[in-house]
Amino acid sequence: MPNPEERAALVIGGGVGGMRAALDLAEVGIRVYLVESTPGLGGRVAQLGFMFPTHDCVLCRGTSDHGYGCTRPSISPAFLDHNRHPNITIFTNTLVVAVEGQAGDFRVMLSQEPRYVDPARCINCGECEKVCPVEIPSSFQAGLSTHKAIYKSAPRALPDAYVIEYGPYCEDCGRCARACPTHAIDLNQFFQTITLNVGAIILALGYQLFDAGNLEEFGHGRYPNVLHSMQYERLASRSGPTEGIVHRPSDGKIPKRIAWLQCIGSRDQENPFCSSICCMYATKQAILAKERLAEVGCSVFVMDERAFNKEYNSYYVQSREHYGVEYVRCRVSEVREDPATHDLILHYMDEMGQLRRERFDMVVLSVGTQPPAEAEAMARLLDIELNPSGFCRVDKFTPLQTSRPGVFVCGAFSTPKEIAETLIDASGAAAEVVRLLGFNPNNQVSHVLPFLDESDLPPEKDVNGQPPRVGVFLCSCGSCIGETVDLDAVADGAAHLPGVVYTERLRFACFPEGRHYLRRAIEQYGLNRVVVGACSGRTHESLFQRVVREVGLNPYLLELINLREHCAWVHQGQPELATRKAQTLVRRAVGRLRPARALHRQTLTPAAAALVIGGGVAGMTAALAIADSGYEVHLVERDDTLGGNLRHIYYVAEGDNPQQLLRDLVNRVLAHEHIHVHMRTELTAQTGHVGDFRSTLRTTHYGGFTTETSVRHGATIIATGGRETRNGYGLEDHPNVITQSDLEKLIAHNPQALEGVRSVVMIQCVRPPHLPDYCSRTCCTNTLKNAIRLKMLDENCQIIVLYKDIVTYGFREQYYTEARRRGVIFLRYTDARKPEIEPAGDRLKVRVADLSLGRPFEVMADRVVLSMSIEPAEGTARLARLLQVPLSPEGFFMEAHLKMRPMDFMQEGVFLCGMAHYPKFIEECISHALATAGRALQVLSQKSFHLGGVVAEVDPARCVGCLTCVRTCPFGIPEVRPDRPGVGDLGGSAYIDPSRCQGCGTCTAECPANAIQLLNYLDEQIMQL
Amino acid sequence: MSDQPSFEPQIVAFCCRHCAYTAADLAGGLRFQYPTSIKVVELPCTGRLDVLHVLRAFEDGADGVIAAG
Repeated sequence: MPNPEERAALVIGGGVGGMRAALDLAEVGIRVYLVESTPGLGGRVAQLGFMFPTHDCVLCRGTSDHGYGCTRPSISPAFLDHNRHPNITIFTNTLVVAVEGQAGDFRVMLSQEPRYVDPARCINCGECEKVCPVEIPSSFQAGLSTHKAIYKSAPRALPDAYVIEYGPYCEDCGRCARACPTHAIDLNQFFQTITLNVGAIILALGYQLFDAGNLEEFGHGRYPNVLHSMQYERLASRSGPTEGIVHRPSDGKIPKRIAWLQCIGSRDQENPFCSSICCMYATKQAILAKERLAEVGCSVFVMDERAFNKEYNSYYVQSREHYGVEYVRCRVSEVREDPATHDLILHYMDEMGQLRRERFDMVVLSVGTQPPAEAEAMARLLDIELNPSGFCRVDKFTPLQTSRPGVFVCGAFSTPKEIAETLIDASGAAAEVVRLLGFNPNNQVSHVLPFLDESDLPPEKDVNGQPPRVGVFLCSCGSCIGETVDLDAVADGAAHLPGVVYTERLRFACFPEGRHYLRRAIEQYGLNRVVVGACSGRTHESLFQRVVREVGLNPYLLELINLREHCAWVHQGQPELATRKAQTLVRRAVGRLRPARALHRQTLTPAAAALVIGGGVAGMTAALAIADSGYEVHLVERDDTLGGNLRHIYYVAEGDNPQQLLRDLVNRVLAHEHIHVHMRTELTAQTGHVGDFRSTLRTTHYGGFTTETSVRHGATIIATGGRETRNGYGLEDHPNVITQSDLEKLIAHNPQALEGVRSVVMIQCVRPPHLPDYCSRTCCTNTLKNAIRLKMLDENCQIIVLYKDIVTYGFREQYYTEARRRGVIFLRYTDARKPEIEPAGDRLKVRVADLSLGRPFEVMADRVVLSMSIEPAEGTARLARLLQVPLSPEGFFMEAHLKMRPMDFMQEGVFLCGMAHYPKFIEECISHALATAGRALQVLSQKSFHLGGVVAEVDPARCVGCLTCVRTCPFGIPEVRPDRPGVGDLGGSAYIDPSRCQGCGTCTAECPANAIQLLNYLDEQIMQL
Repeated sequence: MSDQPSFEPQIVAFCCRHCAYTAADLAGGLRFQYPTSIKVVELPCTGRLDVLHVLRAFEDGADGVIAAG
């Protein structure tokens, strides 16, 4: 093993999965090399306009840490050029060409294609693009528009710089190099070979879209108004070729009728799997079309609606009932075009068996996911196995491990999946790597400013109370700002503002020369407040904050104003007005600085232990991953056995043995030196915050007496699981009406009880009246696994499955195919006409409205097997109150963000995995558990970290304890504490824990007594208008 | 129609740092043009917007206020 401080990992693929994995590894102190074959990070997600079902702009919600980082393909500020995580090295335009060695000691060779543009000197002025004579179809815009040979891979690229697509296109004319004001372009760069030593590799290769042109019958590429779904996504995106206005490509008309055809390249002979994402993205596109296009008709042609995650079902219902999107149950087999109008004609059979012919303005093909283009080459290079469909082979109980030790996989490369699951995999794969390599015992990445190491810096000067000496530095950014805004006039105006003692113009403030000048001027003129008029705070604030800190000023005494994106670039050709606006912006910034205060964060050493609540497969997996990395774990289980639901799973569709997994997990947990198992124990209280929680555990001993234990821990993981409901049809006492798990038990332990059973009816989606409607995700596959087993026991047993939608996503589709091949009969029902069961002696009469016959259908069954909803474990709501975390409308725990933070809560240091989040399969629970372990390790492994900063502060002398802040805080943080005297020294004023405050300022705005101020956003600062 | 000079409203846009403010950045990057009478004030969240801030904007001569987040 190498020196712990030199432990390194390679992440291949710079999409959201690779970025998340890289960041998680970097945070525990492992050096990460992130390799991306294209010029920019972000992957497929960077192309998406919105996410289902939240409709957040994907990238806005991508901020994982509270802080900045938005609109860019960034999941964290840690990838911004001027704020790069010190443990991450990014190689774009780079391919892996050789890998040798073994787990713990790989030697990797990379080949990097030059960018020809130095990202450190590119200021994104676009002068190069204007003079470039070559146009190339834009892959970012899915071929709907073109870009120049020198271009930005996305409007907000990472790295944030231009790049040349050299290939056969660039004419090497050199015009761009001559036009570049910063001499950032060098056309004489060469390919580079890089050799690295790493201990582990994570594959985050993602997926490619099915090529719709392969299916000629749909006319993609021949009929202009047939688009594939990514083309539609770009067309509807605000950063798309038409700024988000959907036009028909043939004539530019706004479409009146749009059809989505599902399963293009999925669920067919060639691609015997479900792509898992298309149902939802088509629904998203249809809803957005309904919102934006007046009176548009949207029809989705679908076989099964697969809405199998939290809040997805209500999204569907909303789509259908509120927006009026029409779902037609049919797989359309061809698209024809009317050559005169370029309208598209679909022939299809509706649910009543009627043949119909309809005309649409536009047809969107919901193309499925395929293995990434480089899958085969990468498999050969790394010597890993692929599955028959060409995705990375993983085993059910080790979902993040490839066939080669030390090589892990995350995201859609192993099975088609959406963003949240990709991020779960990524954090989980990072945890696997930590387990293999160990963490860095001297990890120190959380700083006063992100990644600012204060040890090399001079002590901070105390300037509070000093009269302001403000310096105003105006950057012309080459000519980007200077050509529109008259900076001399702005500087003259600024010189007369109160407190301003120095003004200066700079050509490139962000370049080393500019930063040096800034530092020198601050020292020379004794400045104690600094205004920089340059570009966006999102990209450059941390850079300039570091500059001022380097000469002893607190970073919050800097004000960066955006004279470029918010002024010069949006007011081109209006120099006078733009200059006046710039003057206003400078006046405001100087005014904002006058009341500004130095802010400091608190330092804390985390407790090096985790609390895991729930001893099922998720809890045990999380506990083991943390304990194997060297930290203590308190595993709390209220039952007197470990294992949870896994105890009652006897076989799985894939054929693996879950009971062996159970034995293995239980043995490892019980024998582990770092795991303290608390059986028959429940959590009764928790106080504190991330890094420093204190929990009270109450254990009930045999004989009924109880004892209490207090533990201190840095992180909490909720893994309390779910349970199968009973009470379907009120027939639970009937011996022959059973649930799928009852049937599984019979098949496994007492198959003779099923002898003589000639007819079985299985009913899907049975939900007790107290539960809302949602898809329990695992039941279809469980039904199929049991149906196949019954057919194996007796092929003549008649099995009828009554279903609403068969939800066998990913490779589970093969069990649906297998069940049908074995003669299982599937009949669809709708909510309007649910199946009815009537006991007839020992047997049961089942009545259902068959949709294709259009009349009721009756069958006598020896057994009726119900697929019951899965609900959260008993006590979930109580635990949520105790830990102050929210619940979803379905009653499961509600994570911080459905897509981007599926294992976190807004409350830092508390994490969520397994069925407590939503019903899920064993392998999904394992990935989720590993992800939370990875997250918890980030907290536990910090030597010390910083809390607070821009947080709300209560002035107790003005607080009357009215509870307004308590009611309005979206995170439930303020509390009125009797021990804190308020106004007039009366007991009870509000307290806002700076280590938990998210800094939104809602309480500040709502406080009727004006007793709360949000630091750095004081009223007097905001009211500088 | 009268021949009065066209009225250009002064607009203060209170923008959440995490979304609308960045959208304004993106508008700049894409060189979308809009009148100089629109000025952006950054907030950590639109939750921080106090009615007093809106009133102050009007007092200071704004014709319209946008809260975007």
